[in-house]
Amino acid sequence: MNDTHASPSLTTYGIIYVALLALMAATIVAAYLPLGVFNVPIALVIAFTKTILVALFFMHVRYSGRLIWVVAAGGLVWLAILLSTYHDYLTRDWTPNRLSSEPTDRPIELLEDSRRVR
Amino acid sequence: MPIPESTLTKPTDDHPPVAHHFDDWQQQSDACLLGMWVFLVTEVMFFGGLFTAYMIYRASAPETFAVASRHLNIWLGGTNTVVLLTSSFTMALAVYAANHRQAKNLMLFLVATIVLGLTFMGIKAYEYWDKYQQGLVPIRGLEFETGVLSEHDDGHNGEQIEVPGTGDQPSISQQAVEHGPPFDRGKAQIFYGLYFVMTGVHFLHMVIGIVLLLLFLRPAARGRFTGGDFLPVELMGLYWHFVDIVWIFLFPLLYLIDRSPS
Repeated sequence: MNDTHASPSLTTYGIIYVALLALMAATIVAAYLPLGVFNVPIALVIAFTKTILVALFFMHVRYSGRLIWVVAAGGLVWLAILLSTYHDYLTRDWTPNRLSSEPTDRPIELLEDSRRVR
Repeated sequence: MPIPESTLTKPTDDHPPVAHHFDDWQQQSDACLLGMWVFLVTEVMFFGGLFTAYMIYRASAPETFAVASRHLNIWLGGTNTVVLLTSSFTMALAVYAANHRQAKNLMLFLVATIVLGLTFMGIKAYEYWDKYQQGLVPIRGLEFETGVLSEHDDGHNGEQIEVPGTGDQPSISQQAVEHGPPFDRGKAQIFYGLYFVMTGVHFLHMVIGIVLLLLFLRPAARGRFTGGDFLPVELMGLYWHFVDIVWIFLFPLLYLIDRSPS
């Protein structure tokens, strides 16, 4: 077959499958450990690692042309932009806000306050 | 000498017929793969919106989300994760079999993927029913029980009056009391709203995937994909792996919010 349809060997598939199961076990174990603020980052790092393994090997990105690389990477970039709208809520109380006099660490409440004023 | 159209579209040992608007099989194959990837990126954006909503609401009530999350059944969720990862593995093997023209193996792995997919959906359906029984479906007209409590929970923030849990699972309010931080009934409803929408849309993708896989069975049995053109199986695999990836994020974010005993 031609280059774009080169596929990994069965051994590779097996290794990736075992790795995915191991990472799943790791994410469950991590959830039960008292890690505090590191809980979410660790879960997300494991999830992204699994995603990259699935994309590279099961979805054959590793064996695909540059165009597929660009599209897959582009998807991640746009997703990052979408998720970064979150920073709006995180940073709302950094500056004086006429809608709420006291600073709060509850971003949604700020949103609800502004609705009530309107 | 110009090559007549008929020779261009004629299937060969190496590739199936090439559509007239493509130069050659390579280009057609690349175009199909690119199209599927672009579609998957739109899917990433679709689920990305839901994940953004989840992030914002979770940040607004982390304690409540943790309490509500502990009420999801980690064994069922974990089993489903294993089932779906395994189905992704069998799907990859199906693509491999089609690529290497192994008709029997292709059938075997397609059927295995379908069976695993149905298993996932069965477990998920049981979980939905279980949550309905517990009164944790935040739909207008249904009582949102916040676990097994009802009468003492008037929806205000702060301490809850302890209600004895029925059965071996402690009630959510009980957990909240033990846990300390304020429990917000409205945010618990939002958690379950997000849970049902996100897993529901994922479930819908599973249904579509299984219907497509079922449609693949007959042509696969006739050797449609093992004669050099396995592209449809490859595209099907891309879709299935994507659905798997969505679950890879849903599982830790919904089921595994800080389960540490503290």
